[in-house]
Amino acid sequence: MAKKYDFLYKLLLIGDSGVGKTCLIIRFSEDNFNSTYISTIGIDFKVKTIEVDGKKVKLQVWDTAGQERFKTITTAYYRGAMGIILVYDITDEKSFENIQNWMKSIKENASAGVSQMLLGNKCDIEAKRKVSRETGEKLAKDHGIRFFETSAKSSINVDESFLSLASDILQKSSKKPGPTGREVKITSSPEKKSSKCILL
Amino acid sequence: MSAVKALQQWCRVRCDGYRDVSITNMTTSFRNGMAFCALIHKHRPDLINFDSLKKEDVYENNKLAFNVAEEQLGIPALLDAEDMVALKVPDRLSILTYVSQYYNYFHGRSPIGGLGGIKRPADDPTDEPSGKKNQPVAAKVFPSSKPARENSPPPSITRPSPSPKQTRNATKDVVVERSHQTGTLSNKCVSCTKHVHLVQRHLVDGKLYHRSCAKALSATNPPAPFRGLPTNAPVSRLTPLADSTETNTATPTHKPSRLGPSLTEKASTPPSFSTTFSSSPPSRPASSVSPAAKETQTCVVSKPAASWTPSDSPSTTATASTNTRPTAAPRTSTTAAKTVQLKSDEEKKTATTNVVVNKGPNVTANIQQATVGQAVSVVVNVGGFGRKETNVSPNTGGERAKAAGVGGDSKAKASAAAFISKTLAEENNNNNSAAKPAWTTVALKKIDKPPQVETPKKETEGVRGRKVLRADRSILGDLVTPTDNRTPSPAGGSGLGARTPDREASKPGSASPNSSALENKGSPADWRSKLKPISKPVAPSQPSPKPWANGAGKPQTSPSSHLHNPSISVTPPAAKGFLNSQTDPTANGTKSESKKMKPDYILKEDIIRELQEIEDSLNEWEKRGVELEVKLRSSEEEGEDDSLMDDFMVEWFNLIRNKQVAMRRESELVYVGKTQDLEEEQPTVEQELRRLMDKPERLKTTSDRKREEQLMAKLVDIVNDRNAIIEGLDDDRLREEEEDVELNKLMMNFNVKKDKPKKKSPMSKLFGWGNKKEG
Repeated sequence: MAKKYDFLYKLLLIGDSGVGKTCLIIRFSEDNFNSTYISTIGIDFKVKTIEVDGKKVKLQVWDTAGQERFKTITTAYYRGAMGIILVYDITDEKSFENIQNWMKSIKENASAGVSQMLLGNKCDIEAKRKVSRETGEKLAKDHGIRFFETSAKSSINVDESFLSLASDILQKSSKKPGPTGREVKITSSPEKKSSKCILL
Repeated sequence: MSAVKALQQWCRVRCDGYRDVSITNMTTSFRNGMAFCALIHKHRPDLINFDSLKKEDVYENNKLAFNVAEEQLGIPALLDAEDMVALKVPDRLSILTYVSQYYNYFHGRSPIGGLGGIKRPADDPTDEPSGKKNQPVAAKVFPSSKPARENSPPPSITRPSPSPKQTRNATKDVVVERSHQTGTLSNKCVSCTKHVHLVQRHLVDGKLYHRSCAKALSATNPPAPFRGLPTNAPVSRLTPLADSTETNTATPTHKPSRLGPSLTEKASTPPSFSTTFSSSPPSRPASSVSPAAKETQTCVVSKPAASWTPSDSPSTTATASTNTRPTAAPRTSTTAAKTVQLKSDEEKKTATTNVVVNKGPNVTANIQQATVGQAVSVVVNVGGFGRKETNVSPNTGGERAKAAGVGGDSKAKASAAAFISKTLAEENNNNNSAAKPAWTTVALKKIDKPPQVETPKKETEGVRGRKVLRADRSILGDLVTPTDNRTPSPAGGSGLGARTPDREASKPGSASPNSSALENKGSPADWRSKLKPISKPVAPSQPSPKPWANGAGKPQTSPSSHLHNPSISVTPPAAKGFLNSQTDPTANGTKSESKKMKPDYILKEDIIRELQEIEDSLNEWEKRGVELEVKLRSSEEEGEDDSLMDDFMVEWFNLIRNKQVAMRRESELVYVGKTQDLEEEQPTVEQELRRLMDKPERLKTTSDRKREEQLMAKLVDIVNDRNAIIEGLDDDRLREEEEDVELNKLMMNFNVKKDKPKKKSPMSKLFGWGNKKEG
């Protein structure tokens, strides 16, 4: 039941307050959307099990408060994350500029080698766009990370982005020991052997 | 070939090529512990440095194997290293059962939950069944080549693991302890004084119960168990410390044993103290008191209570509780208690350890020298007699956070388990509410720091697994019926409020002596932690420590949470009350609903029902297990051929395994129930917090701010608890996978070696449980 999966990955969303982190997570985990803005307090997470490359991956997606006042609380959770998703709002230039700061925060708090991804959210509001797609792409490219423009509201690229990040982590972990080292074990026998002791 | 022979064969093959290991029987061949170590090393060479072992170190080898198996492989220590030393010929059935667990483990089966309370099967020589049996067996079997090292026992005394058993070694205590610990030693249930069979074994704080008796106890005194729960995990840890203290005080002479010094160090070192601290959430006091009351005299209990009042600092309270607990439970024998009373506060350095532990302000002084940490606690217990102690405690309090971290295990799992147990306990217990928060925080801290007191903990914990589950169940039951008792104490927001709860808790504790038994229940978490040896990356679960490390903006919240553990504790009740009263459809309503809609959601009623079913099965198996044990033992005595008993033996092993599987499912259910409760609780807390946060800063009163901090901490705790559960489940999963890997290796090895082609049939018959349902 609760253990029917092959991997457990911890993802973490960071980014300025109001860019839509929580909405992305709700969309991803519950396929729901609520336009009422409720700022996240501190930290929270949702769990969803998806299938990646034929493996069942349980994603524990951590939602962080974007507000500065919660920074101390939220940064404590960076370290346990295997994937970090940087989110900005394409209609809010400041949120994009701040991505640099968030990246810095990752460097300071997350474990080395953590997979990252950049998301430009609210891409459904094209009329108010302030950050071009190319700008976002370039930033991601400069840092060698994945990039998507998403819309939690219109359900654009949400599942895709999470899936691709999970896939990245899966690839990474199967090639070399993950940052935590636990993936190694897992990969050696990703699937349970149905055969029990018949021998002997 | 009989099942037993097959198992023996398996051992022989696995141990092939290991120095000083020769499996010729299922008794003396295992006595020096080398075989156990070899079996472990064969499959997990990383866990044991076999080359460093000496066959002469009977105690150490066994201890090592049992510890490693329990901590790293999750195989409950059915055997006790002391017994291996004490008995020239170990109890065969116990060895068989224990080795079968190795077999299970290395064949892709997890002994999660192990044999529940089963720890020391029938080991004591004085014990009726085992005692008799052993001799005959010995005769039959190859006499142990090495003379039993009767001398070795002393070392055991010193050994770090402060399980109750230890006490018996202690010179003075022996007698008292014996009577007290009858359970373990004589296989008598502490509760009903009847014989406890292997299957029924249920250890609580080192005391032996029938599983059913322990359960009954908990049922009778619902409040007590809850109280106990939160505390349990911490307690277990503490217990060891306490023991060590005792050892030191009681027998200074013990020095000879090399372990002795180490123990002392531990005790004396601040870390140990911290451990105490961490474990001592507000709730503790109650629990500690209660145990004491139970075992000792009521008078004693009352004393502590009185002392409490004086001590205002929450930290003190915590300490007190911690100390009391360990002491009272394991060792406090009635005699000791009495002594204490007679001597009253003035008794100085009474020789008996027990006395010291229980009371003793004066004693405290002595203890302190020996072990600062423990000494402090002792003082508290006494009732604030020793001023020095009191002072000490406050100081410690400041460092609490650090201490907690130190005490903590490196294993995230343990923390997770702790959380779970705590939460459950909290929910049930109105008084406990205060306790919970502290717990949580502690647990989190623990994770980061190196485990110091772990060894002791494990011993106790192993036994408790079962209990915990039960407790959980009860919790669940409570959940079903929301406890309205908790009044949303607005005042609670203040630090004072926190204290108040503590005191209250303590009082009730004294009233209900039962709590001690119940306490163990909380420990499941601990037990769990053992099971999940898998080293996990430090994750979000340890958020609390991090904030400090960062040193970045000092958000009021984070620091507050650490410092104000007590206050935090207050929050829970309030939250609850809030919940009940609250009818806000807002976020909460929606959220909870959505959660319930989740496919994974299991109705509480269903959980409870399944738990009941498991319980019923367990009862049935135990009943059958008793019969089987009798048969097996009698046939053994009569020297019948193993083959005659083969069917019974097969059934016995199957039964043991079934029990393990059931208990695994049981724990899983508890996890689920807990998660669901947390998910329902979270929105409530969040909502109140939002309200406070929305309030303009200038309009906020001091209590508003405090309340806000508390709620924030509470919220983080809830999230962390939920995370702990996820990690706990994941650890289980990883372990299972690991087992599968082992299985593969095993099979490959067999193919290569082709040792014994014939063994297939009997073994598969015996151990071919693979097809059975898996949790």
